[in-house]
Amino acid sequence: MNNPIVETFHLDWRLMLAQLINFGIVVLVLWFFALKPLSKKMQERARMIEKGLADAKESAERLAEAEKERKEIIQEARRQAQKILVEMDQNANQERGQILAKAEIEAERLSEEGKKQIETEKKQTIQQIKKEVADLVALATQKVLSGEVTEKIDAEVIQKALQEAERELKK
Amino acid sequence: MGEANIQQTHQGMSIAAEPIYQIKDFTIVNSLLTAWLAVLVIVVLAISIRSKIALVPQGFQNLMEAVLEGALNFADSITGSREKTLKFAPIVLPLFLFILINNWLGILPGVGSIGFWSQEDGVTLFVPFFRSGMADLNMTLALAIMVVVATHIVGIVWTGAWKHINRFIPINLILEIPRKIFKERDFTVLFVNPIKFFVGLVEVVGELAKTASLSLRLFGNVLAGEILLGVMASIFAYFTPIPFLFLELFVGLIQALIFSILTLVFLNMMSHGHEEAH
Repeated sequence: MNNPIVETFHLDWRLMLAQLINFGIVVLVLWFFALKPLSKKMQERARMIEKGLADAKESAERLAEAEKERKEIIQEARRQAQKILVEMDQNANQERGQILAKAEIEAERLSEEGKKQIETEKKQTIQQIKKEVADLVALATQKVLSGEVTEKIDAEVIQKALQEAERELKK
Repeated sequence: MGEANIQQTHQGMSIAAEPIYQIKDFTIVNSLLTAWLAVLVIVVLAISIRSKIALVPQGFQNLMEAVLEGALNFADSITGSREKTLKFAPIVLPLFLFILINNWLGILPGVGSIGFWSQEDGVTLFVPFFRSGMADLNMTLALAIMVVVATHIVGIVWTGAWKHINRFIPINLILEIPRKIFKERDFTVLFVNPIKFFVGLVEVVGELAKTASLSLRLFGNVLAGEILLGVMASIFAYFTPIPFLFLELFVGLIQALIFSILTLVFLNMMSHGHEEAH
């Protein structure tokens, strides 16, 4: 140990080695007990936060999408309802028209039938009256001819026959 | 007691660490004891950090995370990428903490003032039990050598052995001379490449200077601080040393920072190719 620097500073390789071992212990302990787990935990947290933010963004997007879909569905439903209403209205109008037309035709038909029936009945009545008047005339003639009928009776019979004929006409 | 005696017994702080105990050939010096104490402090600190690590940080963990994040961001500004920072962090961060704790332990009351008197060559010497770990060239030189060796390992691993060797001994410059002359007819290489070769050799000297500057800067600053505190305490023991204690706290931090930043810079430089680095 003749080197003055080595002597002045008491340089000793064993001491240097001992100090390096100390530093090695520090490196190992700090790395495995503090820095590594700490940075791992920080990374884990950063990942979780990133995931949380991504999830939140995705949720917001989904919510917006769902809201949009909801609005579209409501709009579609309204559109459909409107369409159905218009169709129903059109159908109802059409049906009403048809029913009215049918009713008019029916009424027309019934009216025609009524008229025809009245006409027929009227003809039948006139026919019957004519027949009865003919019978009465024949009867009256027969009574007159047989002398059974006085002037007074004759008048009554005629009156009666006229009343009956009038009643028949009223029917 | 003569003048020389007073220097060595009272304020006189030995430039080398004082032996405390001898185990066969191995001398345990007071700076080694402080280093052990520093290791103990760091182990306790690391274990307490480990036990408190939770996904939701609280108190102490918050502080540690803030410090770690700040240190990594600062290192990013030197290395230029987080990937590189994380590769160098296992060396640089413990280095910073180890130097810092050692420096600050040296300022604690009792360190440097509690010890025993010993007789050496007829001179009475005061030998403190503890002395700042970095006030011993054995420690700073060991760390500096370790750092320089680490930079070379990084250089070889990251840039390749051939490229790394050529950074210091540019054999490639000599080998390319015939090709340049006969194929490219470039005769300037006859003058330029030998100069470049010797410039490369200067880098070898630079590596030695790097080791010396790293170790002596730290050792000198810490030793000077200890001597300054000793002198101040001997002038007037009460109040006078207080501002200097704060100064030494600051110096301890700055020196730890300088050593670790320089380490990071050297590691980063070696991880680039020679051309990239310039």
